[in-house]
Amino acid sequence: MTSINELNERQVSNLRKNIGFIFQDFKILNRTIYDNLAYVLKIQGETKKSIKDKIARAADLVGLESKLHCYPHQLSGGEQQKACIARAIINRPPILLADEPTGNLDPDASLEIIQLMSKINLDNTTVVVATHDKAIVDLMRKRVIALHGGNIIRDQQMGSYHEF
Amino acid sequence: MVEISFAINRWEVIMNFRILSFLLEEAISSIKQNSVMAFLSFITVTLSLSVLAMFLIVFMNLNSMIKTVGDDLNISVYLNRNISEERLYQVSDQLKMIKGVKSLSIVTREIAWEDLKQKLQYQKEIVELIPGNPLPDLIEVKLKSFKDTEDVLKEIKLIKDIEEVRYGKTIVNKFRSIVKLFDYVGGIIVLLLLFATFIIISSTINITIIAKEKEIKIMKLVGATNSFVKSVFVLEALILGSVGSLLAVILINAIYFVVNSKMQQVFHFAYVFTKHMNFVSLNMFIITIGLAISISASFFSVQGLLKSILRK
Repeated sequence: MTSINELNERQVSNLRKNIGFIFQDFKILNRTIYDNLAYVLKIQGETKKSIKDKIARAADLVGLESKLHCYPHQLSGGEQQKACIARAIINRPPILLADEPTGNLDPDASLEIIQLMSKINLDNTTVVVATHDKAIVDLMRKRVIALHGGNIIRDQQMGSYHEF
Repeated sequence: MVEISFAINRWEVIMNFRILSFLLEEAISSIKQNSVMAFLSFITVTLSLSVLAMFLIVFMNLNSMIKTVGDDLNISVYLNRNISEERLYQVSDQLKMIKGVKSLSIVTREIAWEDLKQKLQYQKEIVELIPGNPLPDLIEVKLKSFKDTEDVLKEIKLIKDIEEVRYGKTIVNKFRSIVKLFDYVGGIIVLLLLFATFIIISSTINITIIAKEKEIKIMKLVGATNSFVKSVFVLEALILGSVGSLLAVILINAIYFVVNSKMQQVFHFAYVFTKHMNFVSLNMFIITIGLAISISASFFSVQGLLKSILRK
């Protein structure tokens, strides 16, 4: 077992390439969605063809094929979060970490994002969501791990937001 | 096994080449994004390097002119009147041995007397009044550089049978102080200009880093290493520096040839401005300085500001 604090810069970078991240504030670069997705692959030295294929697959999965050449400000919050998800899964990481993914979204968009993450989960990707969204947790009925003061206070299969 | 290792190495080279071309792409797109800032830095780098080049042209020409005039000054060594011809050549050999002496010419007292008589051919009565040949033997010493005058004089004074040594003392000293002043003032101005260029490039990179702070953090979150992020800014500075110095070279060459041709029409002595210049070296120097300063300025910014952002 290695603590991530002991990893060097390159090891951290490699670790990040194997984990997909989704953020509450999307953290998308101010360039087209295509360029945002391509960035992740280009820093790994991927070929143009591979970049094109992977972007097409990720965009198809999240339903953003027609928005690839739009800039973030031209998209709704839900679409920006979908772009963020597409970027996170573009390398088919084994783990997807989502930090309050629905925090900035309306209920309809939130539902769409959660359904999308379920779809990704079915594709053999472990999805870990940190959330305060009671409706989402109660709707999903997945494994729930409750934390308090940095300690695990509950770990429940098919759990809900509040313990019964 | 060897074939596999070769294939892996080849793959790594191709991959690194792709990453390098992406770095270049990123640096160019960053310049495009901050086009106003980039334009201002191109202008400032171009102007400061042009001023530097202009100063170097004037400095090199004046310095060279001063040295040329100064180097034409001779030291006249007059020998005692009663020495033999053999001794005259001994002294001449001793003078030749002195470090800093370029060449010398002997004017024997007989030749000098004949010259004088020739010059005074219309005042024969004056020549007739002089009993015999009163002139001493003379050796004209030419120096490699007028800067060596003092050292050579010290050595000359150690030689026996020398009656008098004459040289343009005040002129030599004036030239020496002018050259020294040019060396000092020129050096300080060049250093100041280089420092100003350094600060301008470093500030441009700093402003770009501050403007892209959020973007840098996102880049890191999606897997960019610190060295990748740093390389983008170093490349950006390199582009600013190389384009700026190329523009400076074009500008200075254009200005020089226009000014030079105009000057030659007005002042016939303007030839000196082309005589002492090696434009290929000057252009190479300006481009090298531009690149060296941009790289060092970007390293300065990257190691300072960017490092602190990457640590957050």
